[in-house]
Amino acid sequence: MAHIFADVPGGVKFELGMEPFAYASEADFIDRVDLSVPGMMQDCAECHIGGGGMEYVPAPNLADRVPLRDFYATAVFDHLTTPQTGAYSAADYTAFNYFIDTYDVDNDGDLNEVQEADFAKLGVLEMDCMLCHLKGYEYVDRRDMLRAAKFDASRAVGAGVAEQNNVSFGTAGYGTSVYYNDQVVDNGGFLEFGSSILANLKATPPSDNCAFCHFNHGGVDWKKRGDNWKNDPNYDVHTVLGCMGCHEGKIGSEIGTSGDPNSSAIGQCDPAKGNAPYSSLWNANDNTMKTCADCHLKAGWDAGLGEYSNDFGAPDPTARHQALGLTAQLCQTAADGNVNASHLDILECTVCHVRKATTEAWNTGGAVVDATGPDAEGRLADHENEYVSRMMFDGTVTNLSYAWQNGKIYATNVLNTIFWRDKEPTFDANGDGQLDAMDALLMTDVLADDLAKGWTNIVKDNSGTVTNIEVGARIASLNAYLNTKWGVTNANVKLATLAVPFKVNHNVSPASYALGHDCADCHAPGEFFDRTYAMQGDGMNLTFDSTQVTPFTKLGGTTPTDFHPSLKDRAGTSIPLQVLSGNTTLRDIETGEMLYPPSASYTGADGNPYATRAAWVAYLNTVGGAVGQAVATIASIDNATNPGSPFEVGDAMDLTAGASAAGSTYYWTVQDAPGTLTGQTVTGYVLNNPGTFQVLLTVVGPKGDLKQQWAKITVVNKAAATTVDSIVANSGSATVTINLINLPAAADYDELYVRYGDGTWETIAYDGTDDNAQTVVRDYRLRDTYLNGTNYVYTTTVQVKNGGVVIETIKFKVTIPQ
Amino acid sequence: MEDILIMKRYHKSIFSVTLLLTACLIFGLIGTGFAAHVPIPLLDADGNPIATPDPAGTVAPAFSVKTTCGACHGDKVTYPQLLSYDEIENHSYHAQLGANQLAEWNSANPKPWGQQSPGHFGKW
Repeated sequence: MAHIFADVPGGVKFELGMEPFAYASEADFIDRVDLSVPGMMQDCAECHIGGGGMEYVPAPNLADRVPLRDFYATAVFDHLTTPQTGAYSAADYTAFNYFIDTYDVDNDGDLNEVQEADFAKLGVLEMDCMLCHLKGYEYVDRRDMLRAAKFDASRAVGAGVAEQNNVSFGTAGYGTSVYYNDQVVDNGGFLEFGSSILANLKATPPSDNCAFCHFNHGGVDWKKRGDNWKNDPNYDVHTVLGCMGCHEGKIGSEIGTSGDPNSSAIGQCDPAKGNAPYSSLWNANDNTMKTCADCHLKAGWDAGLGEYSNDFGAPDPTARHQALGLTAQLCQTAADGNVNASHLDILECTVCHVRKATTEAWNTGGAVVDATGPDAEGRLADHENEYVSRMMFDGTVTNLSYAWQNGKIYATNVLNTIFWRDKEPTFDANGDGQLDAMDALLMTDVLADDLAKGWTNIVKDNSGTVTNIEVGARIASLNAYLNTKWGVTNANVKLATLAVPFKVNHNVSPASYALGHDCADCHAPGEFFDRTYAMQGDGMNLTFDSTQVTPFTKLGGTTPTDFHPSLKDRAGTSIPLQVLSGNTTLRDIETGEMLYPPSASYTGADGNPYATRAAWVAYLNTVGGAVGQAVATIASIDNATNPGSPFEVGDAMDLTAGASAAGSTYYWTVQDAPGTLTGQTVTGYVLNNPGTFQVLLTVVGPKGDLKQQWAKITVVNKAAATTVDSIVANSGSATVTINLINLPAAADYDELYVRYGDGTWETIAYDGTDDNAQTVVRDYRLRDTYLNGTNYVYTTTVQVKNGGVVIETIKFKVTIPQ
Repeated sequence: MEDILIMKRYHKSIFSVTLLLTACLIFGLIGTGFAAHVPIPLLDADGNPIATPDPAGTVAPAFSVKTTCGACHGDKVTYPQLLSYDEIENHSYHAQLGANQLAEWNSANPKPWGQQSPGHFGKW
């Protein structure tokens, strides 16, 4: 915290310019500042690229910004003395040219002293192109340079083309000069990048570079998203696309250069944005990235842009969703009894498809950020010790909760930042000039007291188990420290938490892991609506007296809550939720607490009222089978012609489905012939062809949901009754008479199809005599190829057919003496 | 005689394949070279070329990306298709972090850090 710009009296707007606030003295600065601009460059910039306020003194008009390099050389806007009277100097203690030395740049062991940021000696943080575009960039080396306040050097060292110098802090060249290595080459007496650097510069940032700050790297992602994710195809089916597969601007997107935060045009070097519920940074750029629907439902088409972007061949899941009932109108856009939405209408895709189903060590989230003291690296809060993190999957249950945004439920991981604040309304504990009861303590004050007592952060110091004794000791110590610092007697420090529901939308699991294959995946006790969700780290047990804690804020000035106000119900009203204040532990919650206010009333799809959240959740837990959903069950497939016997061609088949919800419609398709049959029961379907076929039952429920089941049947030809009574063949004569008997009745066959076995065939009509017999006379081809010794031998086949369907088939040999 | 013709055809075929492979190799390597970035002279924060340290192993100014990359990414005459460093930096939420969203003083909530920006700059 620092006062960066002077207050503007009389309501004069910033459009006129902004004047850096000058503290009265070094002592005044150290009393009231914990994080100034150079401090941000040292700390926050480990995940921020530079440029903006790390390169310039901000100004309403970007063209009017004064470079930090020129802070002592160029007049910065001076509101009180227009025209400007001159540049700032080391005598001016502002948030731009001084910082608290929490990283001990001068190695004297004093972490609470003030240091000057003379940018002529330190350099500045320009927007480092290499951080994103150079494959093999050294993130850790850059970070070390930042903590040392060697800002110009950070780019050369991070790019791997140089090592830091040995100059002491405060000396010319400290942060602006380096020792170059062999990754740069001489060209006519001047340096240029070597071939390795040139070859590794990539127009599209490699995903590994995004990973520096955005996943699975030193816990930094917990700050941004509350959980880690892994660039592994086993745990994110989109890994092969790379980060920019989704986050590159769509084809046709406008590229902005104005810097206007109201512009929806995306920057050329800004990945296209999603829509974080708690973020308000450049919101005009929200929702510019590819969504699930863009690729999976629209083939990359954007109607607004009138262009197709690459959809990577994404499969369209509509049929599958329909089959699972997820597109059926079963839900409500408001809990008012009006059934007017499908599950897909009120759920973001990630709710069902991000499962994080692995117990591998990387699969963690940050349950708690312990801001009661520094971490092992000297940062003033601990995001990543072994006690504050938690596994996102325990082998059975995925540790996610759910919240609303714009009428849809999203998957979330809650990150709790525990910190100290002062509740005394007459005491300005952090020196910000405001008297209120919500002062967050300066992190440097907390650091100073911790260092004096030999403490770091409270969770780490106590191996995860913190009681009211340890909390009370720190409160007493901080009260004494603040009373001494400010010369008061009424410091009143409390512990508070800020719970932020981070949106979880990476690690899209293979579809087989998704929720929604069964209603009970969610609509069952202990599942989606009332599963226990842990707010503490797996290794934590934080307890305290209720008098030792205070809420984060009060909604509407009256209703205490420990959650960020972005936790809202479906109508957009903030939900109050106390998890630390009013308790004696940072308590677990039920997932439904983040979705539904406790005292609101609801009306179900069944038309019944539910007076409380508890009653509403109990209803939702059982709703799966109560609203008329389709059920597809093939109860029986029977042979109506010969009950209990295998199917033969010509047999009739009866089909029966199990009962679905009232109002369901039943459809049957039998693969042996085109067409669809309807009815829960179908009788007398005649099987006309031999083979193995699918019988598919489709049931559409009264709300339009669809379920299917299939079975397999095998149909064989009937055993032949027809026999050869006699064959009359004479030596040397081609003419043969074949007498067939035991043929079907006249009504049951209409022709014979005969393959003679000599390369010829013919169809012979029923002879018109209903005597179960028919004679075939044929002149066979007397070729040597059929000669077997002294006889011509032919394998002859007769098919008895009726209406084109083969009823019987017999084979026999015809022998003609030579 | 026929064997000789076959051998000639065989050698001719081998020669053609070798020529093709060689061409692929040569043009493939050239292609790789073309795929890499053009040479980049290092410039300091003032835009001056950084001299090769003499003697070797002495310190030299750390290069500036604004001037080094900006030499081409900003040269609208030679590279009119490239956006400049300033154009990219101005219109980048990753760079600005709210520094271009500073709002007027909020008398209803006059904390010095409270209402000045939705990003890091001015939010603390």
